[in-house]
Amino acid sequence: MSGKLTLSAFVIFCLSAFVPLAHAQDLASQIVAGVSRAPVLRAEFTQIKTIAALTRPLVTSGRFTYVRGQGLLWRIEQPYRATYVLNEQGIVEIGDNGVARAPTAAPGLQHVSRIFRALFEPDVALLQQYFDTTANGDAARWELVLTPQQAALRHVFKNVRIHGARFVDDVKLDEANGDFTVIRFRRTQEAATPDDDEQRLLRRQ
Amino acid sequence: MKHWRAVIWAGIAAALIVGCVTVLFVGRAPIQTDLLALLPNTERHPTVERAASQVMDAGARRLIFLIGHPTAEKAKSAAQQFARDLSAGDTFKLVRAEFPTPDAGVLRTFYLPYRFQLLTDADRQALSAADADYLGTQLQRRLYDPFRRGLGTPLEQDPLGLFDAYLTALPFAQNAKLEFDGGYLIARDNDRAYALVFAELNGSAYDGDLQRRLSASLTRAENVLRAAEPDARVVRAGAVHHATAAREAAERELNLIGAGSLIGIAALLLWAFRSFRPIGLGLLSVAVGICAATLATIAVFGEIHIITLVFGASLTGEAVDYSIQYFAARLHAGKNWDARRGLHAVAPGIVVAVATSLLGYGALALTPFPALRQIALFAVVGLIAACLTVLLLLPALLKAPMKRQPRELLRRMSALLTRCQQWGTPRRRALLIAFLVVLAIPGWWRLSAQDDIRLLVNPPARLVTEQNTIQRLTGFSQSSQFFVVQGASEEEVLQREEQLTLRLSAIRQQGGLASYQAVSDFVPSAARQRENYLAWRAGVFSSPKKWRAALGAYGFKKSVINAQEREFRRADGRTLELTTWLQSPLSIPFRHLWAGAQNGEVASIVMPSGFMSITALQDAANNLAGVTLVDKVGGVSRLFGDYRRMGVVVLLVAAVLVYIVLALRYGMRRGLQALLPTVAGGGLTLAWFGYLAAPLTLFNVMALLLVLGVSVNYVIFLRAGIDRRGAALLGVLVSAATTVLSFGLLAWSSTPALAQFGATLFVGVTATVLLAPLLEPAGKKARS
Repeated sequence: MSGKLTLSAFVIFCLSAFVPLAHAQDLASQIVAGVSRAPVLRAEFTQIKTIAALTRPLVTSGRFTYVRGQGLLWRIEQPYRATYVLNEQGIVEIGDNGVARAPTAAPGLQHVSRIFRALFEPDVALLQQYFDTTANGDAARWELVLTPQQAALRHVFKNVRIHGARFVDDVKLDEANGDFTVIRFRRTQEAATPDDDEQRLLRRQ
Repeated sequence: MKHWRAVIWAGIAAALIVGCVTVLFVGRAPIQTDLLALLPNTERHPTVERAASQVMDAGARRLIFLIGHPTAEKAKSAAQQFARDLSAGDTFKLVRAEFPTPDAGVLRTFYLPYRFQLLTDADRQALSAADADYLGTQLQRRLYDPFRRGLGTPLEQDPLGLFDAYLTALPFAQNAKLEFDGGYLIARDNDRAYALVFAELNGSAYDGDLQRRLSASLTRAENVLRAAEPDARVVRAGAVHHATAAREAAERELNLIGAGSLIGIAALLLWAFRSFRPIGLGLLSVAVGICAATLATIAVFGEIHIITLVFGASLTGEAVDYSIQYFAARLHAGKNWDARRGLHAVAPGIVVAVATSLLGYGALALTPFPALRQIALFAVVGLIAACLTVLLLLPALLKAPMKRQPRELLRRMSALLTRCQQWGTPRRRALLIAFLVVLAIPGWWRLSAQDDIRLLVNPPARLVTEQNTIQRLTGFSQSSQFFVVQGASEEEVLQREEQLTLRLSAIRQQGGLASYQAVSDFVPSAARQRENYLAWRAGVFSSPKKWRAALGAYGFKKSVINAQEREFRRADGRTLELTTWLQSPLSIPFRHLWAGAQNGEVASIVMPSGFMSITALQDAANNLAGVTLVDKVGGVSRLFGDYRRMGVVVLLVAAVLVYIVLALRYGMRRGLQALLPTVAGGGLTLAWFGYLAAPLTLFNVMALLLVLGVSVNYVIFLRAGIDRRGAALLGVLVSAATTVLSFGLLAWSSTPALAQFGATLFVGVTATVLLAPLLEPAGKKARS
């Protein structure tokens, strides 16, 4: 019982750590006040991942839908098509043929799902439970720097940086194994309700 | 009466008492409190039994505490303080509050050399069946999946992510409810954080001495904690708490009931025999009996079980009867008392009574159950010693006649007996029996049996609540159901485990099982490792051109591709050995699963948790060579059922043996009449339980055996003393009253097993003693 080591374990251990909320700093609270509270956010994204073992970065792009209170759809369109559904149940990958891949049995997926949803919203209060946060800039152009509070999470991330204004503009993941990932969002739009397709995907178990 | 016999027996009696007190109260009392220790092995195969008891023992020694506080930091410091307080003294072998956050790097480094020997079941199947798309799809998932991070194994060590998938699937994270937090393991509730403290006892959980030290140090540590942190809260779990609670309850009740019955018996004897001396002498014969029996049991079995002590101590009720006979004779004689003549008057009755009892309890020794044999030995030795004390010692110690004879009492008793016998015409007696049978039939009809041992103990509600809290917050639960896998070699055991875990995985996927732990998950069999290596070759390295092209397409560096090929070639023939894993600190939480080798047999444990039905597990073990599902609770319950059925047979055999003795003494017909009240009393007791809808257990049957042994004596004493009329009836009534006072009071025990025992004695003895004078034919004098 003393040696629980998997990443899933790591992520759970860090992510389920409900450290008492730090008092949001002034800027952080301004950010919270300033970000969009729309029920639905849609955007296009480009993800660039730099890995030491590869001669060139990996680039993926696609569309993103965030439905408040329900979850997140991550639809990769280039270089291949796949949809990831992140909700309270965890993360499910749905192939181009519409068939879900067998979900990974890792018990921490709900938490992974939760933290990624918090990153893209951004849900500052939730993030502050897992990370030490510092805010730079002003409400019109801000940066949040997240440092994992626990050693376990530091094995995965060195730090995470989020830039944004009313919407998140980009997320940078500096990973412990040397990989570096940048996700950029463009053409973010607000909406009142998810469309039928989005609704159907998010409601699946 | 030759004086020297009394002197010699007095010497022996003194030695027995001193010896017994020394053994029980000086140094370590060899009293066993583990209920399971009473029972024969539940498993036929010795290797299975050894592995099973190894796991059970280790499990019983472990304790878990949660120290809760509204703030996590306080919970941590309180846990540290609590652990420090507990480690003082030698109660624990180990107390831990601090759990350093484990390092994924250590896990990866340990398994890295064997990565081509290790695959998840799914990946092995996929590699073996690899089609043209396999590499491409696998690489795509590994590289692009935005959310899958696995254990963070670097891409150059594991381009396809198969090694990472294997590590992630290892059952290290069975328990997702606890988190590592700043060197502590923390569980969280709505309004509190709990820091975990783990402790291991420095001895058996059933060692009474250790239990007392544990209670003392727990109380101390909790008091210190409460003084320092009034908001802190301690929640506990562990088998030892239940064992301690059961022992404390039994001791408390035995003390209370024992004191009550002692006072009651003393008052009764004083009232009937008008002197303090009978009390002292009655207790003396009982004490000598119990001491001799205890010493004999320890000499033969090496220890004495608490159940033997409880059951055996109830023989007091019978042993004291012998003295009472003697006192009754003295009462009758009044001023004409002569110790020698008195002894001659009561000795034949006592000898017949002892003979029937010895046969009754001796029948227990014929059963194949060690517990019953221990009780049989205790009873036989105890009764003989008590009887010898009465016959050899009492005449020497009680020579003087009584000063005041309670004439009025004796006259009334005598009149009562006369009235009973006048009432008891053969016709009326037959009608009474017929009436009782009709009365009892509906009760018998409703009788049922119950052998589940969980219903025989009644753990304090507080302990049950705390244990449920721990299970809810940490996911830890104590299971007495697991698989034992055995084989001729380590390799065979691992291979057999793999066949079992294949079925368990299927059950888990259908939701019938939360998880399981098996050594073969950490160290696959050599055959499986070879299979994995060959699957790698078949799926990836059989066509180096395709593999290079696939990796090259994603931009893998040449050096990385070459290194992979080189590593794969080097890994050919490599095997992760079990001993390597067992020696690594990684295996510490799981080492108890490997039971090791003994007598050329190797065994291991596969531990399932969170399963829906035991039958599904049973099915999983079906037709697998060397795999046994051990279900201790179920096995012991079945065993209690066997005991109960065997007890009924013993009861019948004992009744027949007793009848033979009675027939030899009184003749066939009068012998049967002597047995009748006891049989009727037993029958009414069974009907009583039927009417109450209280299911019969082993303990009812054991008590019925005692009813048989005790009650038959009432008729014997009544007949032997028929000339003494009032004194004889008084003696029998006092005997019955002492028995009910000593053990019938157990009916009010909070331990169901003791309560059933007491209730049976209470009803059985009362019914028999009331029926005995009514059913006893008048007129013909017994031959004496």
